[in-house]
Amino acid sequence: MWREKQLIAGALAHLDEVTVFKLVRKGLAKGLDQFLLVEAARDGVKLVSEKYHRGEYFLADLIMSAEIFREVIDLAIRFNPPKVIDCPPVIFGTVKEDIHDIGKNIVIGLMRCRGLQVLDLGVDVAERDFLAALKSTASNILCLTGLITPAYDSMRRTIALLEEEGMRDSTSIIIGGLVNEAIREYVKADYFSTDASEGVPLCIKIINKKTSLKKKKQVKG
Amino acid sequence: MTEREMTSFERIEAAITFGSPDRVPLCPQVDYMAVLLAGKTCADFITSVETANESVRVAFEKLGGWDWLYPPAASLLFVKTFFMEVKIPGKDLPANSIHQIIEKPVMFMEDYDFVIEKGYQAYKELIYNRLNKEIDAEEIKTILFEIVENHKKWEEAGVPIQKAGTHLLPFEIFCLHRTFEEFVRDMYRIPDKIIAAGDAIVMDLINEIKNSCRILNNKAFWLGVWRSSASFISPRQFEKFVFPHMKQISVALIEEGYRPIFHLDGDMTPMLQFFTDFPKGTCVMALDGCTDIRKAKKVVGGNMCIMGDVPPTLLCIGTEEEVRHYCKALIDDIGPGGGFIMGSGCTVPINAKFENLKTMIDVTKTYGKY
Ligand code: B12
Repeated sequence: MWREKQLIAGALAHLDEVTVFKLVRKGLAKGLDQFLLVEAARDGVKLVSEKYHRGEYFLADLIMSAEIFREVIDLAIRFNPPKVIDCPPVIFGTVKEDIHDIGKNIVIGLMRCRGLQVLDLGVDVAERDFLAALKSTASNILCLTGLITPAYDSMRRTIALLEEEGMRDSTSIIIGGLVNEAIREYVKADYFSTDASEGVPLCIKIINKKTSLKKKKQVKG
Repeated sequence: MTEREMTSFERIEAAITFGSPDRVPLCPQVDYMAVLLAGKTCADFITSVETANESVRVAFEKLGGWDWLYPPAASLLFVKTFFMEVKIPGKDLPANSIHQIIEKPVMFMEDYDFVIEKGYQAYKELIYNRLNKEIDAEEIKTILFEIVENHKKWEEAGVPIQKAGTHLLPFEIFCLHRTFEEFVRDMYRIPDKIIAAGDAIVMDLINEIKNSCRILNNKAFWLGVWRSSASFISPRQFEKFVFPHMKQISVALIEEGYRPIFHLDGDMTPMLQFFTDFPKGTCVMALDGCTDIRKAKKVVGGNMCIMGDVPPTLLCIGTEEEVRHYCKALIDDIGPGGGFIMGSGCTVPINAKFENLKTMIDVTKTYGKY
């Protein structure tokens, strides 16, 4: 497995789409854990990102790496559909005024791969559209992506709207993108993350906590 | 040393052809900014050739004049004819916003074959159809007539007009019509199709440029580089997809006495060496502040005239002192040996400070003497 992981990460880092697919297909056919294969591709995306920040790769390369990654996820899910976690979908979107979605799509891919259902609202999503989606699906996890400065105010407004509607306390809010602890505090979110791999277990933890809380409540009730 | 002061025509010519200009020539590319000085709106500027011309005349006088005039109605003509969706001030936008170009997919993967088979004219028709954009030939004829008349007046008054039209390379055209992210996929998956489709339209593009130069009575034209900088693609991609057509188009036209102005938006520093490939003194490289202009001077400075690159941000939020300092440094570092035109990075932003632009112009007229 170790060797396969390295080969996949390496091929993705070279943006060699054909080889990545060959390796992933072979791995899947051999019965290797699909999530590990996806993680290997994710390592490749990270390498591309590092090269981009060192000036060795360019924007087009970064975009292509995310595209190959998206396809690896599709392939893995198609080959072996994960057991879907039975709960309302995670509501996800890039906030108003912002159109950056490469990171968002990576996180969503990983979530789906782990059996989480996700409602992807896309980019430049208005505050009230997040609200409407939470209401219509009875979801209580909201994931927001933002990379440009105006996005922070959009996040803040979205969360303020939940507050107004009395939905803030029942909703767990995670922000990602170009964010940090200060931004989390400014927008009044519950968590921030700049690492896709971190986001998935976090959501699963929240869901487990919420379901057990609900169960407890039901027992009490 | 020349005895008398040069005319703007002589000064620009000397800078481009590596003669001896008497001072660094000036080309602040004043566009929408003029409307504020003239008390007009962007909506007027983009709909009436007369208003555009009059606004720029007011700005020219208030700022004390310069050597190479960005065509006053260039944006108007562009907005009317460009094959992308454009949001228009006063119609789709508030009256005092500048126009916005909307990137949406109007070309699809299978269209490369269409281009290869049917050529440029059919492709243009296809795109205009998908955009639902109708070009009113009679209206354009009238606009062109007015523009040419105005240009004649400027030139009779001793102010040369910078360029005829704005033109794009095949790479840029397909990239804008496909949208960037889709186009990235094409570059990796069907590179040969992109190149072949480019080959299929390149001769028509050359003719289109000649035609527009003839109508607008100017040998200089813009080749816009918007998506081919290192802010988007790698030097290897530039070499493969962009440069061959850039060279083919430019060289063919240079041979017939035309003058490409490479309007380079974004960071072109890693691509500079490609620009050593053009005959000396035949083109202009216009930089917007993202490319390392000192490196450009080292790499192409002896061969190609460099124009630029007072950054838009500096013109908007800098102080007069900062602008003075920036321009003096440009004159010191890029000026020696001629081959330099003091210019704004891209066009002057609408919210540029008057004093800052005035400082850029005044400093160049005094400190820029050779
Ligand atoms: C790619 C890119 C673009 C592409 C976007 C393509 C796309 N479909 O996303 C294009 C070219 C279109 C673009 C446009 C613009 N961009 Co841009 N862009 C970038 C760039 C180079 C990389 C961003 C990226 O994709 N990173 C890779 C991904 C994987 O990282 P990520 O998004 O952070 O996501 C990771 C984590 O944060 C996390 N994550 C993300 N979301 C979430 C959510 C949750 C819940 C969790 C748990 C985790 C998580 O997981 C991901 C994987 O680990 C950055 C530079 C940079 N240093 O970031 C500039 C950058 C973000 N852009 C910038 C700007 C200014 C713009 C423009 C305004 C430029 C312009 N003048 O037109 C426009 C924006 C238009 C708009 N309204 O949004 C600035 C923002 C500066 C600021 N403070 O405002 C940056 C920082 C560049 C810079 N240094 O100036 N851009």
